[in-house]
Amino acid sequence: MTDLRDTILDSMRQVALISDCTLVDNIDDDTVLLQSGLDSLGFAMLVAQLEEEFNVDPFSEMELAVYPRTLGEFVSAYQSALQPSE
Amino acid sequence: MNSLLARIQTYSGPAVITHDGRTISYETLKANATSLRETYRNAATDSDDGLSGSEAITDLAHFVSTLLALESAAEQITFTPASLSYKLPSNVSHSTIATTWFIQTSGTTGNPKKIAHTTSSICSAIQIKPHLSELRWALTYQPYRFAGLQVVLQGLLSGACTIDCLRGDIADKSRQMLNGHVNALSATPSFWRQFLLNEPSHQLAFSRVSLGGEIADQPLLDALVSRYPKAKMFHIYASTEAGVGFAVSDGKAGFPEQWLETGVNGIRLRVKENILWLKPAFPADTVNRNNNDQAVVHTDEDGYINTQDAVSISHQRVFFKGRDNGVINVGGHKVFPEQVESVLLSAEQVALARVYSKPHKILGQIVIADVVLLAPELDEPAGEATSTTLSAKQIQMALMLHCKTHLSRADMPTKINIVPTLPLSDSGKVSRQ
Repeated sequence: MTDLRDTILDSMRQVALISDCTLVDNIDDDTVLLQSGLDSLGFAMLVAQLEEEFNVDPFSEMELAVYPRTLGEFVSAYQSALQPSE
Repeated sequence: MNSLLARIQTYSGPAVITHDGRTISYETLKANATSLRETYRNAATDSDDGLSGSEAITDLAHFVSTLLALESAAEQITFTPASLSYKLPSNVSHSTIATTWFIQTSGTTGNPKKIAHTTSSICSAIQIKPHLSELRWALTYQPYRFAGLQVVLQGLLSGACTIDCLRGDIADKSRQMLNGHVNALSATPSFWRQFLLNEPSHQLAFSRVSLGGEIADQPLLDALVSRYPKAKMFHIYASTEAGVGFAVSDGKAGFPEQWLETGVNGIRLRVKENILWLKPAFPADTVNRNNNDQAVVHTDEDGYINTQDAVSISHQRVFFKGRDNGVINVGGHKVFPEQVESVLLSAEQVALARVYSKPHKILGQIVIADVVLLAPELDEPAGEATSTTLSAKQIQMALMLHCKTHLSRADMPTKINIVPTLPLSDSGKVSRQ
């Protein structure tokens, strides 16, 4: 769980660097994603990067066009998407 | 206007080399075409409603002799991948008939369209000068498409030799060029990029290099000049819709802004809302219809044709940005995949690039890139980077940063995939579908 969150945070930093965004300090599970410093384009990049990393895009299979609101929800989306294979 | 057959009467020597290495001389070609034409005319005279049919094409020599037989004898010729379909009138005389040519567009960015041409519109860019008869043209485009017909007609009408190099992959085609002692090649920028990676490209001495069908970018033009310093190099802008185009020979991408004032080769040019419009020397309505006489070309009140090619102007130069109907819409921002490809191709690591869209729930579409690297010594997928090689991840990151310095944020690929090869379509272009 911590590993997963760390990987996601690492990727967020990388995407922020590529896309000229500045992440807010002290990102935690309650941080609202769209207030983290990344915009929707940044999140599209993040999801693409993580798909490379984990071989899964949990949002492409979701029926509703709703993205998680907080980082905690974002991490759990990956957690449940990765579960069956572990 | 003389028939095509009449226009090659004085030529002799090799005209066509087929895929299996047979050389067909102008003499044989003319004799075959003449007797084939007689057969068609006799059959048409014997029937009340004229003669409709189609000739299944066996090889390039057969294609050329059939075309020569039908042109000026048939009212219509329709070019399809396997055959030439024709319609001859019954009251056929031995004088020449104005032939309408129906050619399909490649449909890279949309549905293929059937475009009508006259013999003079299809031949409007052909150059005829005595020294051009010494050229040996490699045909790498399908002859039934606009670009391939241009190569076939250029070879034929200038008395040169055309060599069928259509079969196989790039390595096979390169070998066919070597065997045929080719010294002139007209190909897409995508084809040239792959060709330059092949060994035979070092052994061939081109005196003519021409590029068309896609945007010619500066790094590729520079690479061609340094590989073939003695060659005359042209990049050709041609619009199947307009039936014409023009050649740029100064070795620089784009074309001089001055041409918007002066025109070029009798063609008038204008830019409206970043789209290039052009007005051919012949009336636009000669090409402005398909089989059902529906207008397929968008023409303005002054007779200019909408090319659907987006351009930008800087430093007295007009640059092509891409097809207006091929843009990727990222959250309302228009991205030209051609432009992103050209930025990727300017990176030192990249040999080939393809940029396309993927549906995205929030943004509508996102931009994805596939690249083939120049140095194949990339580590195994999960391999560790050493001091001399980079991991795939490091290269992806470097390419992202490269894109960042040359593109606006919304133009940047969301993802860059490193792939072993990129297939070309049968018109020699990178497919973005």
